[in-house]
Amino acid sequence: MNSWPTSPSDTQPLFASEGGVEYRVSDAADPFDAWIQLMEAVEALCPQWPERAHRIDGVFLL
Amino acid sequence: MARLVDQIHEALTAFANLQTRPALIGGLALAAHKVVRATQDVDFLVDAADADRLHDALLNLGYRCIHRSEDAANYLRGSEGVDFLYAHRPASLRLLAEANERDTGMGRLRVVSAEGLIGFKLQACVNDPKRTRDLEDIRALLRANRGALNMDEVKSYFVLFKREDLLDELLADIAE
Repeated sequence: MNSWPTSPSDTQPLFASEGGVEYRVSDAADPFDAWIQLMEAVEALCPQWPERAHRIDGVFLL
Repeated sequence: MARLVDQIHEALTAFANLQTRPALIGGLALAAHKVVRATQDVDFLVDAADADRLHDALLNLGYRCIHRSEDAANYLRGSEGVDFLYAHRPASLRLLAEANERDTGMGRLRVVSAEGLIGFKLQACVNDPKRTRDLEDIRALLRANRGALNMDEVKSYFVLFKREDLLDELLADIAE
């Protein structure tokens, strides 16, 4: 059996189609619900999150 | 239910017990302004006058403080984090006071305006130019809220950080 892609559309990444790129939701949808659903999918795919090391530092003018 | 939802719900309960009313900023706040993207960052703007009480409450919830200054703080609990910017200048105090409240699946949340969020994202960009995500967030906010933003306010933040040229570039990008 040949499982290699046979057409250009087969080569599109499955879960990376949004690729971390933001998308605009419709005005009718609750965007927080959309975020919750998105994060449920993210957590299912990545149950162990990387360690956070970010520090908020720098010049603050606001 | 995403565990971030539980984390945020717990934080909101702690805020209510302290009778302080932080407002959501950062990547999650984008959702209130028509931009939804995956993020594990939980960021709030809080009145600097409440920082000490909030610090104690977070330690009681099992967080440890990894950084704290007069302007910001970072807390960690395992892989969960929550970050705070402290409002003590006129601009951030105004943005905190004017934050809109909305009901969500995580509880009742206050969220800074899209204009204010752009200002905070710009501040983050200036402080760490390697974090290109913030620049993309600004671009997405400008695009998703085109025609609805107070552009005088947006421009004032770019003037404050001496990055008017960047605003011109971004506006040219989204006009294409």
